[in-house]
Amino acid sequence: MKTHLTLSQRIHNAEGIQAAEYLHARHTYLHATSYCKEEWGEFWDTSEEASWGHLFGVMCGFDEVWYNSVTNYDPDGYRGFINLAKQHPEISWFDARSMREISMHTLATDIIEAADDGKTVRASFLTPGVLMFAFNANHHYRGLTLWERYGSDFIYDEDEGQWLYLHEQVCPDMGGPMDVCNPGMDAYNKLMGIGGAPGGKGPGPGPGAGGGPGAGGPPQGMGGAPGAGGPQGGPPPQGMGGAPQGAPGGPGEQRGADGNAQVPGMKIKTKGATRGATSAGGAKGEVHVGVPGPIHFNYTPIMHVQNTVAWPEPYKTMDRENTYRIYETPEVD
Amino acid sequence: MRKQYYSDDERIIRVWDVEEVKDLMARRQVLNMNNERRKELDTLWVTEPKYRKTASMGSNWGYYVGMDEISNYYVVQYTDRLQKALDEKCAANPGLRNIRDNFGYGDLIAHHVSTPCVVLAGDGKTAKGVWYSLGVRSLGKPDGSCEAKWYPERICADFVKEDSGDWKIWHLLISLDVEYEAGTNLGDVETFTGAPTEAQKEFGEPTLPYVVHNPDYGWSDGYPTVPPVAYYSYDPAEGYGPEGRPRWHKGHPNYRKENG
Amino acid sequence: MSTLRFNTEELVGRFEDRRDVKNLAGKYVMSLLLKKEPTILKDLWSARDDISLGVDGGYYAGRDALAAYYASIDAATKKKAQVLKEVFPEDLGEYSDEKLYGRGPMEIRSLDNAIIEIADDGETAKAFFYVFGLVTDISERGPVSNWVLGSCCFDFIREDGVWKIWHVLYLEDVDTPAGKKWGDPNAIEQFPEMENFAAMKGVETAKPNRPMELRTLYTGSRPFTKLPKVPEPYDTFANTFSYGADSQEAWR
Repeated sequence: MKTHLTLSQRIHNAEGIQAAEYLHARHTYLHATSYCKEEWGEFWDTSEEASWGHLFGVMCGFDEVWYNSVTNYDPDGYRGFINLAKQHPEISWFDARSMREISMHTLATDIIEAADDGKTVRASFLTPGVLMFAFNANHHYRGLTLWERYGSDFIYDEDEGQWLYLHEQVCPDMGGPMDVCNPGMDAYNKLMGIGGAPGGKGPGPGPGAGGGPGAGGPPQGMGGAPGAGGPQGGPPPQGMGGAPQGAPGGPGEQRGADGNAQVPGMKIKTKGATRGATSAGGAKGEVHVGVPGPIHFNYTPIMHVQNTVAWPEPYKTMDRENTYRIYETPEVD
Repeated sequence: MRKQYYSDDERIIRVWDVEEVKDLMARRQVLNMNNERRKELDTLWVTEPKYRKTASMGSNWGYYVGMDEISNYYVVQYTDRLQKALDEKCAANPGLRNIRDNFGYGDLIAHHVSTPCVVLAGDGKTAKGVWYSLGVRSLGKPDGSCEAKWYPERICADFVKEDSGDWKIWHLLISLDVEYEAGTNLGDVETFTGAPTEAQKEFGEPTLPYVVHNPDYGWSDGYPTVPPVAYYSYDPAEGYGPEGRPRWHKGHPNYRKENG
Repeated sequence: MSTLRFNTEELVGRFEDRRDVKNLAGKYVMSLLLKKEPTILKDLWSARDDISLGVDGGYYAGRDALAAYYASIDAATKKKAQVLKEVFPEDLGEYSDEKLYGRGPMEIRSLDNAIIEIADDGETAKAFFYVFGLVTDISERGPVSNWVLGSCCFDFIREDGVWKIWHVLYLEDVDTPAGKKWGDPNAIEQFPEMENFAAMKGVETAKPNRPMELRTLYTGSRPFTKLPKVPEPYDTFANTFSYGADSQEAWR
């Protein structure tokens, strides 16, 4: 018990812990609805300190987060909606933004700590997920399972009297086409350059991958977001030994036909912009990251389980030892 | 909603109100997974007459309204189905006794919940919440094999704090996005078939048939509204009960003339 | 759980306790994921001798049994790393034993559906969680991922002001290869043994020192099996049930 704090401070921290759980859940449901403006615009800290990281790097400062996750995200959704409207004119009744994939990143195994100074809260989660693409031109579902971990920091805005999202680090570990993949064996097969077995055929692109402009009925594994993509859209089919999304490189990445779940064309630069797909939905434009990746790697049998987002320990104040903000590209072994 | 100010005493009560609502939903799922449906209704759902009358259990295809209707569907009809299934299993397996203890023989129910997102009303009298359930249900067959299916769902609910001070479930809405067999490719599952799914068949004939959510279009039909937004006092039109159902205009793919 | 029986300060303390034990449960499964078996007993468990871990096949009852159990996992972890070194000499051939340790398994057991009760006296706590997992392990069949569904229940005890794990009851209903249909107890046979992983054959972890069938894995012919008992409000541990090895009330 935090009896070294006043009762009022303890109540404030209890609210902060609950706010962390609530805000992350709110973020999650808005993300699944593809309401990116609400997801990023309603309860994020808008300062330069804000950050959102993934395999491929860390977006630093709210403007960079917004550019990648909203500016660069919504157009793909609208493009897909317009394409599908040709085949399904009735969708003019529906919400164009949420016509795309349903990214059900569930939140579990929450470990949450509030700083003694009451200014921040830190939380880690395991996040079993399912990414479903329901509305596709070929009138079939597509889906992936995706296992991730999150590390999230929250900050108290004293002026507004509310808790805000400050940092997020996303660590995808493994996944594949639902429910015909075996991520462990698939990863092994990739390392060994063995294609196909035993994962089975894949359903299509990685989560939120941008689709080509063509409409019509693409075969399984060829579509793009949100279901009307042409044959050129998106990363390669999953389920042939790959995890759903990833950063370049990684031990063993040079092996196998496709490497370790890479996004084609995504190249790490030492500074500045990286081109590739964001987990936030497959931007087709450049993804700007202040800290280039790789930050974390998808599972392979020859790696440790990376402790990229270590659980939070009790702490007095947020500092370099107690944050999910990553300031430099880490050495990954 | 205008910002509210609370004393320290009120603030920690509000924190605990949210915890109690999360606890209530977790207990509800355990009783559901245990086939203890009567106990669930008796211990976790509303007890005061004004709430019992308006309680509802909804899904993609409509709502059962009132605790009597809910009980008839959720317990009585379900028990009938368990009995029928057991009859078939006993016919194929003479060693299996046809007794109540063997209800659900060969079945596994795993509608566990995560990702709680709970909003407490400003007045503290009600709460709303949504959970994810990456659920599984597997039914044993007479030959001893089984068919396991995934049920990715959003479970939404309105809660009310009764005069006793206990939180209770008032409206429950289970929004199912797809059902498909474990170990098979979701990519093989067709949309727009028009054929009722097993879940729809099991939902039977609700008090109020209605297209509450049509998963063929993903989440783009916009209902149920998640996550719930902050509110001061309960408004039925914004709830997860039948009065809060989406109003589809004529011409909307979810509009059904017979539903009004 | 009721707010009516406690004053404001007690409610604050009980919320902090609730969060602390939930964190501790999370650290337990995260420690399994991060291969912290060599230190988990010291870091997370009570110093008492009557600690226990119940699994489908019985109980590891007592500190010595748990120490032996974790030591056997530690040994298996080392063995897996050595086998991987032989399978992937180009990548791992130069690595020291220390650097190799932990490579291969990825044991994700996520906890949700939490039901937690703190005793009125604040000395103990109980928790139920549903387990939804994807557990990847290295065996003679290579790296295979299994869907894992079940429950993980805890008794916690406060020692010197710090919450510690007293009893764990971890029961699995489903442990079946991902990407395959369920209900076939021999489903693993769909992943044939691999010559380059043959050295893993026979590598096992310690068996429970109190073997008994707490639960059987799900098949289409398993009698309907309820989840373990969930915590109910209680005043002191003597007046509630236990998830420990000396009581079978939780799962019978």
